[in-house]
Amino acid sequence: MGIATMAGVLLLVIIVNSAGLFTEQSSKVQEGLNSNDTLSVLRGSIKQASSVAPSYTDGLTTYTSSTSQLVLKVSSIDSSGNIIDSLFDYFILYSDQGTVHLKIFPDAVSSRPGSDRILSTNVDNLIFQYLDSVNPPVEVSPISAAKVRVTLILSKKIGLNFTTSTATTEANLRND
Amino acid sequence: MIKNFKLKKQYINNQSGQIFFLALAALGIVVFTVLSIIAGAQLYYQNSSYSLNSEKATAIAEAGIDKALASLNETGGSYNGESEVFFGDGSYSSTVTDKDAGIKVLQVTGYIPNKIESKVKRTITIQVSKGVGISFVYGMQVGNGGLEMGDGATFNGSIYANGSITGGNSSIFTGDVWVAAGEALIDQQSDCFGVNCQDYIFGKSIDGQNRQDVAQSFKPSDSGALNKVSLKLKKVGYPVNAVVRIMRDASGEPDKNEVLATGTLSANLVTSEYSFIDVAFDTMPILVDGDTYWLMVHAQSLDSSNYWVWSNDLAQGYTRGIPAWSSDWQAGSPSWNAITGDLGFVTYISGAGMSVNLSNGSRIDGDVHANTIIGKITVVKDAYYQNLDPSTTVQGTKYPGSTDPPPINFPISDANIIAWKDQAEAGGITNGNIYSGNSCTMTLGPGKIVGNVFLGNDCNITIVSPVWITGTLNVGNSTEFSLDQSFGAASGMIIVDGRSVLGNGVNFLGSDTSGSYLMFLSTYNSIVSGQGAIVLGNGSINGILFAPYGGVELANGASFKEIMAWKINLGNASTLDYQTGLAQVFFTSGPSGSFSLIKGTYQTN
Repeated sequence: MGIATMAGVLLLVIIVNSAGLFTEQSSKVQEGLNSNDTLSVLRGSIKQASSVAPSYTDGLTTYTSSTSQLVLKVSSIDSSGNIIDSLFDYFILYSDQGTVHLKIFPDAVSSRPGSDRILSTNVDNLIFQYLDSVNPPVEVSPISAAKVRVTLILSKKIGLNFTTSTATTEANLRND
Repeated sequence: MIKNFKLKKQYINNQSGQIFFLALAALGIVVFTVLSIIAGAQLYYQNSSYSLNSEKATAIAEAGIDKALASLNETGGSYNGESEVFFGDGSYSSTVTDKDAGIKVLQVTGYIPNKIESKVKRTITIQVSKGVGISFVYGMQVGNGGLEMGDGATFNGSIYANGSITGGNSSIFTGDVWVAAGEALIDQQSDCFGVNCQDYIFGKSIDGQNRQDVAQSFKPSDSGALNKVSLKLKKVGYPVNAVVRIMRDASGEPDKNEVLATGTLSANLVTSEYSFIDVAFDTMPILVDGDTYWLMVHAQSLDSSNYWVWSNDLAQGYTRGIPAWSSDWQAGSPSWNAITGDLGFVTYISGAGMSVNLSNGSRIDGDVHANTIIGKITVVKDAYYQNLDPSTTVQGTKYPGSTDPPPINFPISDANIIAWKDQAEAGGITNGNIYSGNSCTMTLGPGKIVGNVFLGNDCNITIVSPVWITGTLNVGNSTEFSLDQSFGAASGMIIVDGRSVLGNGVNFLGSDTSGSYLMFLSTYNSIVSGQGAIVLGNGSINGILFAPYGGVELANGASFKEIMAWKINLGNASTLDYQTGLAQVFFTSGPSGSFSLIKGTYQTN
């Protein structure tokens, strides 16, 4: 009876630990996948941007380029995907209540669809830094930026502890 | 006793194997957990590999774009792309198609690991054109001559002026007003003459010298804010923009820890002939009379085909400084090597502060940034200044002691204008004046017209760019200048050396293709003559007006796409509207020009 009890407790401990390990590792994998996908979309958006816009207003909401929000001015496209001269769509990237949002506000003439897409969850912080083209780069105001550095910090509570992952990427504004 | 023993044995026999099943279940869970973690790791590995390969494919495609652009220039435009070229961890294929007469579309796809078995592919598309790409950041840019407004004049929009702004009663600005620091006064200069002029190449490795950083020291003879510098340069090939820094001296060398200001040397402003090229800085450092400073140019790369050439005075006529070069100005202990001679440069110190001086009842709806604000006017938002008239009302916040805004250079250099004139001359020379009646139809250019041009009312003039008129230009009402349709999305220009008087409704139009503009460029010098370079009637102009040394006199109700001038006069009760700056306008530069990227056309798929 005693041996059975001990063996049972031991097995229970193994099961609990296995489940904890599984949850923790799954969470880390999910964070990694989130980071990869989010930063990939961010890099692509920044590369295509003509400039960092100081702000964009949609109705009563104004989005302003800062360390927590990025407003990109991206050339509008026609139905064939070709750039329309002197017309621009606006991409807004920001974190809100633990999620990273990519909002697209197309020009009335643009064929790019408007959207509000969640790129990542479990976001602890999203930081934008605006850099010039000098080597080494120097931080400048958003409208003077030639490149943007993005730091994404994801965090999730597993049991009593938080697992945190930090990822950073940098992209030049190719159309600046 | 025996009975109990038997019962116990029977009980044990009944329970035997249960541990085994429990262990089996636990083992199953552990195996499941381990396999799940391995699967997750595998998924993460695959996802990361895909992300990495995506970046590699993009980088390979960008390399393919560079190669295609270089090949276009090497072959004079006959390069058509390649089916598959292996590069790095993958390969790329490229295609070149004509969008119109002036523009080609380059599309390059990068593959990992190759085109047939591609796991990842990324496509980049850009457009290129032969010519000079110029960005007009500001819809209106005013030089040192400043802006003069008559009574009741309204300026719709924001303005950045290198000179003072003066206005009559009830002048109105609907946007922000920026007035840069005072007039630029020459302080130090070095130049060469005749046989003493030598080329000093940098941005290239010469005889084992990796000349990436070149600097010239100088000692100001006056204390004050450094307004700008000019460098006597030319280029070979197509180097990318270089960085110019003003640095303090440390034991006869540039002090890498004391960078006072940073500016950009725009490659577009430099041609294959020597010219002094202006460089403005992000801030205006205060220089002290007699202290030694360094003016350092950092080439972004060492390239045997695309590099810079700085004019060097072998006579060493400049006695207040020396030149030097380094392979890495930021190294732990940078090594600076002496250069024999003096490099061509000019430094400018800011003169007296510029002002916004408006008469009674005037209003500025935005912020004001100026050294001095004068007049019984209302600033609706904030005011940044050093001197403020007590009668000025600031409804926002006052920022006394603010630094003067730095001056901004025009986006077109004298060297660009000389190159365009050379191209016009190569198109043929017409001697004598040109006259037309009303309702005429005429084609001008490409070429140089040595004489005056008189055009009547309601004429339609087709311009085959570039056209250079050495005399004056007089144009009647409602006459339109249109760039020839063969230019497609490229742009062109008319250059006029004399004064220009344009009637009401005169317009300058591109080729009908989006992105094409016609620029009216006056080289007339109002600073010397005191007379306006361009006198305009009423109307809306779709083209670009540029008068780097001239005044532009505007009539009522003028509207512009883009206007840049040394000075602008706005008459009484007139209203000036302008559109936002143009991201990139491509001016064709003749058969000898190179293909280069049209800004804003980079797309990824």
